Amino acid sequence: MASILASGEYSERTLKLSGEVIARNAANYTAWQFRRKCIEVLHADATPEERQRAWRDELEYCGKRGLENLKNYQVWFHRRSCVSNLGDGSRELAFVEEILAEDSKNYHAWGYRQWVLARFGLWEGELDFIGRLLREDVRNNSAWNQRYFVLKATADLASPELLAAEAEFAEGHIELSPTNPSPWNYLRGLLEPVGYDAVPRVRAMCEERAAAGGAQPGSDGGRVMAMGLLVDVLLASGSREELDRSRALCKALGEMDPIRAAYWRWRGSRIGV
Amino acid sequence: RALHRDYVVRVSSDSESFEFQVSEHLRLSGVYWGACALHLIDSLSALDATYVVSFVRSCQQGCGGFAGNLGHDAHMLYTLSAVQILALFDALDTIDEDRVMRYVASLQRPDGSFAGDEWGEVDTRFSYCALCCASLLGRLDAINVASAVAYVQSCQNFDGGYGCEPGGESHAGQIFTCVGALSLAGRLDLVHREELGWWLCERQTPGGGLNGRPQKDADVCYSWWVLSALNLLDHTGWIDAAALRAFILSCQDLDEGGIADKPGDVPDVFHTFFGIAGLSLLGTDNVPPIDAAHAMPVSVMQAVRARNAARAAARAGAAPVLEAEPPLMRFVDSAFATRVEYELWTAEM
Repeated sequence: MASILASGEYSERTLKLSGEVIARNAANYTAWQFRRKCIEVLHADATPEERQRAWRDELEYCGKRGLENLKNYQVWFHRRSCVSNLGDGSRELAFVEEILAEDSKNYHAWGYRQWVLARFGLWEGELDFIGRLLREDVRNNSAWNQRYFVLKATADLASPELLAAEAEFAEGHIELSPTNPSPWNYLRGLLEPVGYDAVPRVRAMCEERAAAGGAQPGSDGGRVMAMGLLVDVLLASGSREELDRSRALCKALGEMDPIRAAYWRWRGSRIGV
Repeated sequence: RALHRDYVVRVSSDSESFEFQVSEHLRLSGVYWGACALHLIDSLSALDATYVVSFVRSCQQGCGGFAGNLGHDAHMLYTLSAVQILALFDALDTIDEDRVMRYVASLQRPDGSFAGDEWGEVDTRFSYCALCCASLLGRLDAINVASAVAYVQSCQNFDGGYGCEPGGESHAGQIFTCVGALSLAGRLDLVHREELGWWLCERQTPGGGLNGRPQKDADVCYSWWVLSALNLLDHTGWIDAAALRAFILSCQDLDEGGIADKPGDVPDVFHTFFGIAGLSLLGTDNVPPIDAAHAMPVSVMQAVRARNAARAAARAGAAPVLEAEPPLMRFVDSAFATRVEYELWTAEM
């Protein structure tokens, strides 16, 4: 790569050579940059159609390398460049879906998907997509983050109807995997800013699970998660009794979740201060 | 320790190995991980300082930034690694800090974010690199810290964590860079301690190791990303130290040296450094303290701060106070070997 750069030659030949460098090491960021420069230079005086065709070819090349190198920053940024130059994101959600089928929590893929959604306004169908992924794997934290991302961009996060619907959605998934932190964090994230009173059902659900219903061998039935969220619900109410109760919950959590005992002690010590 | 020292030295020079070749574009970061690991086990002298410093300097490009290796383009990531390595070898004086900071500052965008290079990729990792670089060089004045903070805050998520860009999923690595950036900017007040603290200590799996996101596998490098963030929030104690220590130690390769990502896997210098750094944060195994915000040994940071204070004073044209209180004299003493040297210096001003 060093000798290619030193030659200062931007041509079909050096473009091909950069491909050979990438084949040996797809994380070679200089090689990817060189490709972008090459395409710009080669088509500086071309017609828009010719430029489009060049970026489309490059996108196809990029796609192949992406499928071979799922966890590579350079390939994803290169994709953004190609798609930006093309001004067309219509096939990108399908591409990301292909990647997520191999690696459903791929951090780069989800970040890229967010970029595509926002850039091209392709929000329709995304909530269904998220629902489908969660049906396949209820523990996919990336999908939960995506759900918040979509709603924040397209809906009113203070709307009582939306909050009730989302709480029901989250509770349905808690039912399937009560110890998975993602839907619990999601509920907290949604309701903390507007107040837990917005959806009284959430508190009721926490109380039920905190009372040791649902425990099975190897799982506490979501008891620790429920008690943790209940601490926040009670703190928000602010009444003397509720603060006392939340303090007691923290003490109990220190015993039930011993690996995080120090955290629960700290939480308890800050209540009412 | 000797095993790990030998491991790092071996991989640093084994240019035939596959790992060496596929990591050639990030060589400067590899050198930082190796050198910092060696420093923490009191074996920095196992590397040839002159060679390393001259190699680092040879990676500086015309724009002032540093490339990952010869034959590559300048990038924010490797600019930070360069400055970190030079600080480890007490060689910050060998570079022109104005040149470096001009490059770093040039990558800041109107919304406060930082690009990785001229091509414009944005990531909170680069915000951290910029602030850390500036802090190590004593030049936070060269960038817009307030807008950098605003951008980092815009990446705060509903769960208290931080992602790569606004809306990006909370991830322990990104959380370290954001909390680190906020710490360097003096704005840890913006962090939601209850939520983020919970998120961070929930990373600890029943086996004692830490993962990077909910429901993922434990990996030794999260011993750094998670623990350093907690350390910056003064809550290192929220992690069960004994359980984490046992996990890190179980990832050592007791035959060849080095630390791997998971027990039984092949080690690499990245996980070797972060495993040792994790032990440092836990305060165990006689590993000296590491500064969580800069990911540098505390002893090195003391020298860096003294150097920067002296340089700032020189820039301001102010002479240090002669009738110094004892604490100030300790600082002055670290910059001057003897009182005589100090008096000669002030006489020259």
